[in-house]
Amino acid sequence: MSRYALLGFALLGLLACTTPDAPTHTGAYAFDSNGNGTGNVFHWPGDRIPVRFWVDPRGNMNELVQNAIDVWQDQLIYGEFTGVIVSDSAHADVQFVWSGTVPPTVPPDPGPPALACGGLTQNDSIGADNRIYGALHSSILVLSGSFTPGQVEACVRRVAIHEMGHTLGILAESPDSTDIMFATPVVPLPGPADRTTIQVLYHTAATILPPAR
Amino acid sequence: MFAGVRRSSVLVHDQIVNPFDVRPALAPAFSVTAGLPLDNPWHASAAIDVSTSELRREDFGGGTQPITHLTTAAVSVGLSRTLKSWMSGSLRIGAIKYLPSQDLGLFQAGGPFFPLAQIAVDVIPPFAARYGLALEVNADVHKFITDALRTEGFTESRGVVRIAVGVSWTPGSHP
Repeated sequence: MSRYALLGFALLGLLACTTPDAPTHTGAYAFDSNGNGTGNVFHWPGDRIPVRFWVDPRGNMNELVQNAIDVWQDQLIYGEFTGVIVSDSAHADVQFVWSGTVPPTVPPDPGPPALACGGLTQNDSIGADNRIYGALHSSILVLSGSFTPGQVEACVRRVAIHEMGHTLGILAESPDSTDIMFATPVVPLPGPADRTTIQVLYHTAATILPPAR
Repeated sequence: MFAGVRRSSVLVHDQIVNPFDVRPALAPAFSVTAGLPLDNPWHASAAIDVSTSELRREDFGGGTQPITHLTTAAVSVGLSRTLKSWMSGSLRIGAIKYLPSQDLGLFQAGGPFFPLAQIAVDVIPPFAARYGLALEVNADVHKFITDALRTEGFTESRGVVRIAVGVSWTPGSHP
């Protein structure tokens, strides 16, 4: 081959030799079921992506869950998780429902967070084969009190993201109130520790298998 | 016109618990080049190049995980010349655009574009010359980073080399 061509290929190789350092991924909190590194670990495996969510058709649950899916997808940039809302609850991996009253759909209050709602995520049972039976169930409950509709809306948005974090496998609560996975979330979005935690979780071997399809 | 296969170097190397790479799978590559004769043996040339494949994460343990489907389109201009009676070469500069099928993950802010430099060598075996056919090897280089990677903590872009091998065909009369 011509020396010109060899020289050209060599120059391209030199131009491409920049190899940036990988960032450190530190600051994760415990995500196992005991919250101390000794419990079960769960995440959706690659062959179960996209995870299928069914949502309560009442109110704006569809919007809340889609927002929560988008928010968590943005934390995982290497294809670890994608989610999709499906219309058939029988074929869903996770179900999101209202528990009790359905709040009106209004713009969220931008003011200080009010603890106007709560949430719960559960699974039916785990078999001897370490496999979850049935779909995961998340519910959001509007608490009674003198809250404005906007405060309730801001709360259910936070809690939907928080419960989504549990369905993705963060089985413990963060000890830090600046994280969305704090027991009573007061921040609107996942923080750096939430991001690192979900990343580390999805690169850690799971001990619990997802429900069979 | 060129049709072949393209291999790309790693777009991202990261370590979350274990190290892994992100790179496009082996991809079909197609390009169309237009030439304008200058003083012999030089030609000005302009090319449009497209390749498409799955972008995937390659764990060092051997597993792979698809991330999204990725198409790249490059436009370049440059000079070509005959190096030997059976060989010609081209050097071009241009830009490459990444076109992910979804604005997700690594590409959550959409597909970026980067400056690109390309070199191509066409080898013309005697038996193929009469048909206007040649074997082509081309390589290009560009820097790669996305907004999501910056958010992740990457501060420098990474040099990416792509090499394609295939067959080119030049229409017109041939000896």
